[in-house]
Amino acid sequence: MAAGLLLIVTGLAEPRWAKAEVVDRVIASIGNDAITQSEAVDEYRLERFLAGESPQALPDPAQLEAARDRLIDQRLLLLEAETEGGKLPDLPEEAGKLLAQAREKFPDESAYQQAVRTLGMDEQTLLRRLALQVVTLRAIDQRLRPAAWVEQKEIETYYQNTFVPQQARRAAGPPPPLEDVEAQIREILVQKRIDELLTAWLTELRSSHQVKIHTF
Amino acid sequence: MAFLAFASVIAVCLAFPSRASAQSAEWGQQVVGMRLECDAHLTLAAFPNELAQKVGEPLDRRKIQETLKNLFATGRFRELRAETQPTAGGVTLIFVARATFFVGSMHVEGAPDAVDPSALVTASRLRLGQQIESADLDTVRERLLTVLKENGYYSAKADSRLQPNPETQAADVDLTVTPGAPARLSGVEFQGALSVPRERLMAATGWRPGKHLTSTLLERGLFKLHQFYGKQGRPQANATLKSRTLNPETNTEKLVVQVEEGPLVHVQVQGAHVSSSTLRELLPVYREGSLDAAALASGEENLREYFQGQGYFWAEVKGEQKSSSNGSKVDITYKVVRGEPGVFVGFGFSGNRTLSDGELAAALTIHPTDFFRESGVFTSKGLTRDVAALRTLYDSRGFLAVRVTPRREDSYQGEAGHLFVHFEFEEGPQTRVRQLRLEGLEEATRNGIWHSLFSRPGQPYSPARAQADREFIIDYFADRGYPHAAVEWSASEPSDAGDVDVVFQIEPGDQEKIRRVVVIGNEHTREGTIRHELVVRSGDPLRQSNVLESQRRLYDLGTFSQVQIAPEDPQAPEAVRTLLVNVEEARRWTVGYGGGVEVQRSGSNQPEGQLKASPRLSLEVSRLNVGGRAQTLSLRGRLSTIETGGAISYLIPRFPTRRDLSLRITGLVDRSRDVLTFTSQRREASVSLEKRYSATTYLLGRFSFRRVKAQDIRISTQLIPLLSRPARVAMLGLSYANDHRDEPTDATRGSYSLADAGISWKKFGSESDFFRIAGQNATYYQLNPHLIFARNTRFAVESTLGPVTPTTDIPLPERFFMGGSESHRGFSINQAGPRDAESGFPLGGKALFLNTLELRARFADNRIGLVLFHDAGNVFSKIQRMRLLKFTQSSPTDFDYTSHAAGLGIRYRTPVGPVRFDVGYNFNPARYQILDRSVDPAGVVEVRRLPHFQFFLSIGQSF
Repeated sequence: MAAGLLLIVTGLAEPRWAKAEVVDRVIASIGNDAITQSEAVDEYRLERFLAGESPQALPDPAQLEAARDRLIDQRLLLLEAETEGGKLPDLPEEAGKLLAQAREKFPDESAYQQAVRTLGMDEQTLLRRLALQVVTLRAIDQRLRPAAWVEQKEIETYYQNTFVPQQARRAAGPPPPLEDVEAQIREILVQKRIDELLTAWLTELRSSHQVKIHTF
Repeated sequence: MAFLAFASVIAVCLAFPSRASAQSAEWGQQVVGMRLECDAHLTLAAFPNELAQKVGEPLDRRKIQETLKNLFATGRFRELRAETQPTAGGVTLIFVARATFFVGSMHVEGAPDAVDPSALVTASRLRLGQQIESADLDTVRERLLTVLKENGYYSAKADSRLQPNPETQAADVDLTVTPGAPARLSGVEFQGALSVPRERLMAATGWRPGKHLTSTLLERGLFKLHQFYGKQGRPQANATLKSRTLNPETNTEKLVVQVEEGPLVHVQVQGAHVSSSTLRELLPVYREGSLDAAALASGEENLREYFQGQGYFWAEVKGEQKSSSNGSKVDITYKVVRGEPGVFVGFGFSGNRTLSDGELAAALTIHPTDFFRESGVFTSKGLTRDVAALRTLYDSRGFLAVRVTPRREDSYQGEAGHLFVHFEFEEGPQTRVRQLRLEGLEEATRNGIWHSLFSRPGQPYSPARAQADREFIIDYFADRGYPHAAVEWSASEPSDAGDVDVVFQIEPGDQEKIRRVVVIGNEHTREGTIRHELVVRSGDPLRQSNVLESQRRLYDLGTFSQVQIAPEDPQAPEAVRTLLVNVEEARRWTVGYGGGVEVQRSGSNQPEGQLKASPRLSLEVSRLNVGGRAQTLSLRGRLSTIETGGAISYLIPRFPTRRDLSLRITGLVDRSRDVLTFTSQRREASVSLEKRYSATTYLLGRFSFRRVKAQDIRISTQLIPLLSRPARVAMLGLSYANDHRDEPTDATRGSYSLADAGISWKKFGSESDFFRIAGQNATYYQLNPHLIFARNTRFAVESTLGPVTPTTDIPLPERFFMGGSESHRGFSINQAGPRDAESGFPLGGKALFLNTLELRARFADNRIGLVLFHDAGNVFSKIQRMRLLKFTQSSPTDFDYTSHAAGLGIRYRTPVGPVRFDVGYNFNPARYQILDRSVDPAGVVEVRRLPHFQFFLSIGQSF
């Protein structure tokens, strides 16, 4: 008994018996620019925060992978923006607008403040992260919008095949004429086209930059 | 009881759940220690700037994140994670990593004879210093197999293996191939509309059934097809390899070649004759297979220039092209009206106030008539180029608006066919720099650059000069470890006074320094020997000039066939880099052999010798890199009818560690009959120490100990005991040489000077006390591209240290002899100077003077040369008897006069130097006497004269 107790005490007191714990790791890289697991976790939490949800939860593996991929895409797009346009702008106003939009999604101010505290970032860091998102979106728009041309016929087709049936399902009365909604439909289609082009662009960027996934 | 205790332990361990990394309870705990666990010999101490988390601070999530990113950004790690381990007083932080390895040396084993191992290395696309891991080896193997397949090795196997070195992080790559049997050609199918029988096409390629086709043979065959069709009048023919199919059962391959013959092209030139070989050089239809209007116009221009080059300055050429209706035939006719031949008599300048006529003339390629160019050199294209060159010259002086107008005068001074060109200049205003700003630099750097720039205030301004300044600034920073310096420049609009302000915006970027220098690839050479030559050092900025100088010094050792110096992972944005020095050692054993023939008067019973061809063979075996110290042991042997012997020498460069000193120890044995008077047997050992001051200047100190015995002596018996005794000579000597020739074996400009002194003294162990002084000076002047004037003057004197007695005179083999293809060509080998009054054989002398003048003309792209020479001098009995202005002998026993010879020589350039044939005519050859005792024992004096004509055939210039 004494020997057993001794073993227990020894096991508690002797650090060599304690298993080393991984606190962070490199999970992806673009060249020599690493993306750590903690960054991916922060990205997941930021996404929840912007959606008005509590950022406290930890991501499951699939969610972590998605956050990792979003970070890779963001870094690639920022690299391209820097290459084409030089130093990235700060954009404090636009970042502030994004933050204000996120704030509105919380039920009240205390929930919002709690979420900010849980996020673990000070306001400066949060605004910087949001500014990078704005820069990324702008880079996408600048690059891809000119190529996202939509024909008049496509607008008409969308109006007939999608918009009108949607209005009918909502039973919101007769659908507005095409001229009134043309601009909206055009924007929807342009956004779709941009998404397609973005997917292709990101694929090209991943193959032209040394993107690696690490499982160490 | 024991079981309960054991179970308790298990229960306790199970009670501690494994913790998720992101929710680590260790955040905020004190970090009591940090270490790096890695498969390379790296420690955290090497990364002081990358560690945001410090020992003694609370464990911080952001700092761990930052540290991981910083460490990864160094490029030294390919996998990285941070772990914590509970420790007394807090936690120990452990960075667990897998290191990045970089390509070091590459070795190829098993390459077949038909494939150069270096081609396989190239095919791997691995570069020294690039990142590599095991996963990359699959791609390398595929590339090797592709190259082997292209060379007919379809069943080849290839393997590659990494040998990482944890100390240096360099990984040697071993490429192993097993080629298997190469496939043989079974047949070739030619596809396409063919006008030529397939058998002829096959013959044209040089491919034969049963042959092993490497990629080189394949390319050559396709090229030969193209040439074949060109000769058939189808310059647009194209043959491409469509497929190469293997039959694995028989290991044979069949080729399918797609042939597009193109139209039949017939070219004729009317109004003048041009050889077909010249047409092939001039016309784009032959060079490029082009048949469009631009090609036709280009052909007209080229033909016009061709005729102008022959002196038909007013030649006109008009081309016409007609195709058949189905495009299968094209007729091209160039109608030439040459006009009358002319002479380009000269050019003149007007309006040039700033630049002199001489400066402008130096920029021109057109050239008026002279001795070698009867019509002069003039073409319209050449004139256009010269006008552009003059404009560039003015532009470089700030005359940005200069106008240069050439005006041809076709009958200069009323003479029909005399062409003269006037260049008229409107210089315009000169733009100067008013103000120069260098932005982005510290003052010290600005001062270092300022005076080297063209665009300084007050200097002429031109965009070309500013661009040159930009490149200078980039090079300046690159040479100080700033390889990514960015420099942009701009100039303001000219002011009313014509001045501009120039601004250079400079971003030097990060300076790259050398972390350490790693030497790899040396199997036999000591690392110390290599490091001694390196100029690059740890801690220094990474300068390209130092890298190149280190490379040059290593090549100079003569030990390496290849030297590569590159940073590890050059793409990584690191400020401190490991530099890899990869050497490939040359073969340590080298064998050289040669043969030749000398034609001149040589050994016979006659005092003046007989004209003979003397064959010679030579062999040299060297062992390089002895002891891994870049030292060389050489054995040389020579065999000819004149000379037989061998030598052994040991060379220690960088003696003992000084780069400017080298030591050579030599022993030799030889037997020669190059002096007809005697056969000399020589045994010699010497030590020489050379100090090199620069690439052109050295000082050589030597001590030689030799024993020379003269045999088969052809001189009077009274002189034999005096001159023929075996002589032991121990000589201490010093030589100084300064060589500024552009090419030592065939100089066209520069000079060469040599001063030599030596003393043979009893205190050194010599049997004979004498001193010797010699000097030589040669100069070379290039009078024009085809003509070189060369002069060589030699002087030497020796004398005994004390009074001359029968036993103290200078021995025969130690005297001066002269004559032959390498010295005075009025005499055959060693025939000049005093002679024995009884036998008539040369005795040598104690003073020597020779002056040679040569006019060397070169033709046919410097392949053939003609030489006019004059040799004047002689060997004199002693310095006091040297008579340079005396041209005749007072008697047949008086040889102290200056002999003059002139002659003609032909040179033919070969890879080993110019082969030469000289004919010399001696204006005052020596008379000498012999005592014929065959009839009267008292002897009858017979006076003879050496022949006037001498002939020489050898290799190399005379000096």
